[in-house]
Amino acid sequence: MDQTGKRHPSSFQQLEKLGEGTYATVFKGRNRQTGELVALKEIHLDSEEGTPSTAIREISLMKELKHENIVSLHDVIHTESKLMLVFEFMDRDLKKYMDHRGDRGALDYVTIKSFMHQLLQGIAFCHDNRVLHRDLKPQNLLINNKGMLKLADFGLARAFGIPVNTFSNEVVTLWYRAPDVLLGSRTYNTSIDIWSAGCIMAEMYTGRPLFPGTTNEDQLQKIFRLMGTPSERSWPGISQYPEYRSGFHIYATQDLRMILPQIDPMGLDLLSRMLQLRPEMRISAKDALRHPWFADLKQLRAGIMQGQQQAGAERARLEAAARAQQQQGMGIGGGMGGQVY
Amino acid sequence: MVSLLRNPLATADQLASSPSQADGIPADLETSLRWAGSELIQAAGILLRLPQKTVATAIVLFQRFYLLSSMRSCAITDSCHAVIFLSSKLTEHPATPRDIINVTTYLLNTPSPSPISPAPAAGQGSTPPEEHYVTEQEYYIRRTRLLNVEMEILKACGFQTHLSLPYTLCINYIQSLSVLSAEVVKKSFGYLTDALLSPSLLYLTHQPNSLAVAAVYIGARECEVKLPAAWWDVFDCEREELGFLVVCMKGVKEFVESERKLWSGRKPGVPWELDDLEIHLERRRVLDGEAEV
Repeated sequence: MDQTGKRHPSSFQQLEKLGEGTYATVFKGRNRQTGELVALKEIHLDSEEGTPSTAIREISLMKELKHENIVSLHDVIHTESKLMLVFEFMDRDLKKYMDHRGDRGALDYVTIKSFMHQLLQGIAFCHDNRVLHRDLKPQNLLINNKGMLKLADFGLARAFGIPVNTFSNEVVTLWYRAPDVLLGSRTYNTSIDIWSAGCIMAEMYTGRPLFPGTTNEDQLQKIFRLMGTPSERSWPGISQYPEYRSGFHIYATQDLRMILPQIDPMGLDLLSRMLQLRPEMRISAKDALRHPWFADLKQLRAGIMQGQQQAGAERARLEAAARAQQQQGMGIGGGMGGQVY
Repeated sequence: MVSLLRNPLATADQLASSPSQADGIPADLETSLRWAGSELIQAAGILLRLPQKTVATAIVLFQRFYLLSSMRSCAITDSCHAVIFLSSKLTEHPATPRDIINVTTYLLNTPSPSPISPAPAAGQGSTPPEEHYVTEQEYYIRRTRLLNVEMEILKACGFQTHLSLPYTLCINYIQSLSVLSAEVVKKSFGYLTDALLSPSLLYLTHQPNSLAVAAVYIGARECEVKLPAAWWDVFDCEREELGFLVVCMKGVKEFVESERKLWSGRKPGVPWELDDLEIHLERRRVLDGEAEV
């Protein structure tokens, strides 16, 4: 019925450790027969927990989700004490990529647009297949040397259905967690992945996490400080959320441009559609992909193809164009003053 | 594609060639063991306070597993432990191996309203705790087996543990037919739960929408609620399939009663463990031999 478990761990040469996942250790590996590089995710089987539910979920979903923006699962090998997932090899995660390639973590305009497009394509495919990722963050987005971005770590993902009111609300790393989840919603849906994507987009511009909260409350406060504290008027039904407090500090809505001066108006429009406090107001991945901000992506990519030397000049030109475009957009509502952070 | 409303179903080949029967287990015994295991899972689920979706998922995993594996290679108790454990994780209502093992040992050794428990001995009140006490040593042995079988199950089904149950659909259908009442829902849910015990393995052979349609059909009938003509077409269920499911679902009661009668008070009882099963098979061989003579 299935090839699972037929191959032996020794078919792979274990190379250096790549990192510790949420429930596993990941090594670089090489297929001894073909020489192909792979990522080996080793999951230790605990005698109380058995096979971790995260591993079961990840395997069952990854076997179904085949897409160029989702890291592919080649094989599952299991021995007595461990389970080994064999994934395609990717060079680094987005976090490390930003640290190495970016300017103090910030990425250039073309790369951001290309990564956002690929991220949204991966998310749209998941959502089309009724899978929520639930844990999108730069560490879970893998990048290869061809500039491809793929979603990884589906340990918290799950297939969603109707209704979806039984999820645990203990998911998604705090910094990228949607406000409705922070407020204790257990009926969240695809929009939680879009919030995370918005946070990641902002982080690619600045090189710093947008909302680096330390606790659930602090996370909400950091979000409200920028997006404004919602009320029953701006968000009908908000007071029904389990974690809602009438004593939330009241903040006025800030202009996103204050902390993202480098963003162009079109990009800002897309970002603000993703970072909507109310889940039902957030743009879907499919609609986001149709956003005019992506209209020139092909051209920009073609520009990069023209060669390494030209690329630098091209990028500078495009960035200058983007800056000019953005300055035009600064006309209305700009200059709120005041410190956001 | 991860489909929410569809399940992987057994192929005709899988249904025709049971690994247990190929391994020398008579068809009627396989049916009985499938019934007994499902009853044990259902009863344990209640004592473990697991929601019905966890119990139903466990029973379907149990039924799927013995479509791919022989009962002679994996004892019913061990697979029951493993499917409850697995399903409790999959449905996010975790139960510990210790609780699961304690509960099944209790159920299989002390009288209870559950048909798989021994009948109360005459003139005796409650059984002494020694009867259902799990020693540490026994616990470790059982837990090791539980974890091994869990992996066997995952390997057998290729980690495809996705399962959509018909309960939510059932409510949706009742709502969209505008006949929502507690009574209809209760009846229909009852038939969906009955269907888990069907010897026709309904959850392995029919998609959840058809199961839900059949349950609503019977539920509404029994509550004398009138539904529009050919309403099942809307929910993608053909009349022929509906007819078959209705007959099967209504037949479960009789099937379960006959199994309960067959096994209650019988000594030795249901062969829960591998050595019980071998003894049972040996006795049957002897009896069949005698019958031939």
